Amino acid sequence: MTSITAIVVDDDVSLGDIFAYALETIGFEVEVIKDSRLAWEKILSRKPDLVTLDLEMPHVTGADLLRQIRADDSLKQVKVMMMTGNGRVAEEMGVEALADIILIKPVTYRQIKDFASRLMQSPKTSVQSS
Amino acid sequence: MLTIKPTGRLEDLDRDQLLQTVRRLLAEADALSSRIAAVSEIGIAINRTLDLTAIQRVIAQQAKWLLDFDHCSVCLQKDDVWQINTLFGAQEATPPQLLETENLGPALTRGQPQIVREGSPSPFMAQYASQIILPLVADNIILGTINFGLAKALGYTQDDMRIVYMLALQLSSALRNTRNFEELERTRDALQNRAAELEARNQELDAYSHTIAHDLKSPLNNIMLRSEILASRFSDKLPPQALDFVKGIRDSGVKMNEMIDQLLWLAKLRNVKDTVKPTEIRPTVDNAVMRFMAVLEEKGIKVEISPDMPCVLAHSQWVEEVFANLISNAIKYMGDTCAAPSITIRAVAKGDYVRCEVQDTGIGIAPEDQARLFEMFTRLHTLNVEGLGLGLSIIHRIVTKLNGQVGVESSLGVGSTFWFTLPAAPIPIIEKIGQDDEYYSDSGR
Repeated sequence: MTSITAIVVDDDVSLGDIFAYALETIGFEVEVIKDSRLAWEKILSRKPDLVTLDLEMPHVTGADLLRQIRADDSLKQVKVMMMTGNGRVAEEMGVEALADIILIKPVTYRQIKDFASRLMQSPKTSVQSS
Repeated sequence: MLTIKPTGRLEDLDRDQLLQTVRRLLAEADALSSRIAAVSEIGIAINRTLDLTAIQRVIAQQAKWLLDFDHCSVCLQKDDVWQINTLFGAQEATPPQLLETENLGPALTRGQPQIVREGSPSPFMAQYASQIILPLVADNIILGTINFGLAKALGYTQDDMRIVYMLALQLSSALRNTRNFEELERTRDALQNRAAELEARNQELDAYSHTIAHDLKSPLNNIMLRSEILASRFSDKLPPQALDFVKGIRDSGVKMNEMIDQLLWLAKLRNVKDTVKPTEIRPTVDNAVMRFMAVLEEKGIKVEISPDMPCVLAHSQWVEEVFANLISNAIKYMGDTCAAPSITIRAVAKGDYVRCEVQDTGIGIAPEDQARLFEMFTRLHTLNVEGLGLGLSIIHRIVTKLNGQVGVESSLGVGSTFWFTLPAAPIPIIEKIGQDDEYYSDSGR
């Protein structure tokens, strides 16, 4: 079976690691990127199945990366899971319609497992969580 | 004030002389009456305004109806120095002159009226042989003087001084009003500045709270996620005590997250400027109760909600948050001595506002604690229960923002009734949600 891949972009490297671990437990092959400036090239070259983005990061925000992903035809199949500490900010940054799911921190292990599995099983389903 | 100076006894005067005397006296009385009327009119005019320039203009234009003068001025204190504003006379168009300390004279230094008939004139009116200088006094403070001068000697009488004295009284009153008004304006400006400063500081504090609260979410997420994974993936490798510790870590994380959310709420509330709209209370209560269903069932707490609930002018999310905080507190402070713990929620229209109540059968609050209950970060430390100090301050801030009031009635050992008011919505927007007419229990629904 071809492995499913994910890229976790989070400036909090320890949190990124545990997100990655959570995804690995359900079969993802995960790469963690701490510096969001390096994320775009990696996403473009790896074309992962799933990208998890922290919304508010220094330099390049999760919203910036999400817009770049959505604007690129070669990344049409990429699912994006947005993590934020504040749902209102996600609304203000206009990412609600672009992300496949927005998860409000603290994100639980169960949420990661459930939503990542659902995203991969239903390619066209968009799920929302608060 | 009339002076009768007949040449001899009235009985000695013939008819013509008597008539002459009467005519003279009548003319004098008439002139004096006109002058008194003029003082009165000037008094009304200058007490109608709080503008010093306008007051001086009235004096300059109308003092001629009171007495003859070649010079008219007022001496007033400005920035701790005395200065003379010439209203009429040789220096009329000149800017105010400073008055040297040695030339202040008895009117300014001791509040004594001065009338100079000839010679030894006051230095600042040196060219006028006749002078009247009267102090302007209000509240035992010498505010200045009003000064009249005539070039010719022996120009002024005691009657002139009495008329000017009446004018001085009116002018003193007008100046006092002006000073009081200026003082009020200064105080108002200072208060406005202070309020703006405090508002700016509060906003900074809110922004700071928001940043801190938001930044805490990532490390908190890390702690909670790691403890959750430990408990679910490594439960077979950890001894029971270690698993207990992990659960403790996670439970603390949940509490900390609640506090962070409350901080975010508080920080957000100050700047929200949404307009209110007619809001049904009942759905907000139902939603708030739903948040606590598990714990209500676990603790066996019965919830009763009155069936008729009016509409208010508010935001439904805010009202729900108020009820949720009150219900949360009622649960936390329920204690374990009550055999039939219950929470009763009501909303009753009272004129142009609606009073909402959350009543519990909990441990109650001591009178001395009730007063500081809604202050930020207050927590009832003396009570052996878990609690957050932010919940009530959130309620207070929301309700205040919605133009309502909040309060508590409580008896130790009996329970508490937290109440808040909100403006009533003008017309009910929806028919009441179909519920039984009797109270019913939400517990276990």
